[in-house]
Amino acid sequence: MCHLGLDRCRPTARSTVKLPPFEYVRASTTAEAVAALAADEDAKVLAGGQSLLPLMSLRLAHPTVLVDIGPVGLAGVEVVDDSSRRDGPLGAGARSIRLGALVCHRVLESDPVVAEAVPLLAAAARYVGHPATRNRGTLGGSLAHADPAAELPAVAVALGATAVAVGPTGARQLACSTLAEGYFTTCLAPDEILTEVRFPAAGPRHGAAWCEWAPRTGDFAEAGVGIDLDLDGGGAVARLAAAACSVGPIPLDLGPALAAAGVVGATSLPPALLRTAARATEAATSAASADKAELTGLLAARALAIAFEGARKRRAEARA
Amino acid sequence: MTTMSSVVEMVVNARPVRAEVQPRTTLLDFLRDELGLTGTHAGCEQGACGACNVLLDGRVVRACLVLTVAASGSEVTTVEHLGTPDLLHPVQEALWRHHGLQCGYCTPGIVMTAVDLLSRISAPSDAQVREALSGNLCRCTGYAGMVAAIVEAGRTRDEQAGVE
Repeated sequence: MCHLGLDRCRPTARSTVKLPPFEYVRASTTAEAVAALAADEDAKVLAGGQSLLPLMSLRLAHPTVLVDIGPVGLAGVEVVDDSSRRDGPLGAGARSIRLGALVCHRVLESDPVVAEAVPLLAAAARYVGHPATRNRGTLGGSLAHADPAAELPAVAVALGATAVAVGPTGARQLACSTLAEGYFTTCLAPDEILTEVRFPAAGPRHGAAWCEWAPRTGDFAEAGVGIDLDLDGGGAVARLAAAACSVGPIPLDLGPALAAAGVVGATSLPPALLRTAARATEAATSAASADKAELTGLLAARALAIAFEGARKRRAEARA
Repeated sequence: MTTMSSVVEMVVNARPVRAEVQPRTTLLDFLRDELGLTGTHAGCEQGACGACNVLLDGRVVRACLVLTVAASGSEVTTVEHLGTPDLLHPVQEALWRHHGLQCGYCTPGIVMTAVDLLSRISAPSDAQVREALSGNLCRCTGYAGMVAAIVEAGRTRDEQAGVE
């Protein structure tokens, strides 16, 4: 077997594989991948494999076929100007960023285009696993896996991202807020593949922060909160988006609770307002334990303060 | 193409490799059992410990979380390619100087993580090194010596680059 010519090759090799057996399909187009998925109901898409392969190693998942979509491409990062399109998916005058489903976490974390256009995504990507898993793990894989503890599905919910899913009958667009339906469960059909995700781009007086707590860096978070806001010309919070991960079966949209707490319209965030925001978050996190709800409230207040400070700095720079 | 066995071609430590593998063979098992490159260690084999970290196309990955078939066409670098006992790689040299290892089981993964970090950030801070090492478990000697070693390896290289 070994063509390296090394004399150390051990003949007992084949007894040491740990994953259950499966067939492997290397798809070079989306259509090829969809056809392979449609042919076998226990086939699974292989993207970066950083969640699926551990599950298979632990024998918790037994797909019969792995359809590797790596060769399809789907790794583009592109800022789209929708300002000329009144019927654009994100409304008139909006800029958006289109990310291929196979853009890896490391690119989300380090690409200056992503950091400028979707700072919350870049901030949250730093908390996904470790450098070695972020080099393989993908945005689409994270959304389709729908782990309740995952950061990126919560970011997609907070920001109102949309995704494109391709199946046997063609492509459809869906709101990321409707993607996760429960623990590791999505609205995707078994023969559908996420191909791209589109996020609205940040405005000029923008601030974003992701805060989470995990027992060790890179572990699954006990709770995580993302805040994304814009200030108006007068320095008041004009738009607020927020979501939490790891506090229930699907990402929790915290936008309405924080708006009701009086954050929208505020020109400063004094301790009393942050406390109100924390309590409103705690109340919204009703599916979680009391400890976790309290933690989520604290994380929301912290992320709010950081995001607001960032937006204020950006506004000051824009005026200078 | 559907198959229970595939031919893969890749470049491992600057040498071309061609082999037939089952789809379920991880890159870790391929490197160790087919190529005899046992410097890459098998720890947890589920992505938690980092002992099997290698460079795939120049970026650090968990070899236990990469299918060999999916790595076909790639370039793989393992710890065997970095230095020799007589001429250690600067990261290995610094780990030796700072007692950044004890039993050595996690060390190959630590070295590959450090090499990846130093390729991205020329002189990383203490905090940046700690963040990078968060994906590598050591259960005997602790991290203080490793962090000092990697910080020094970065700084030394930076100073040398400044002199040139």
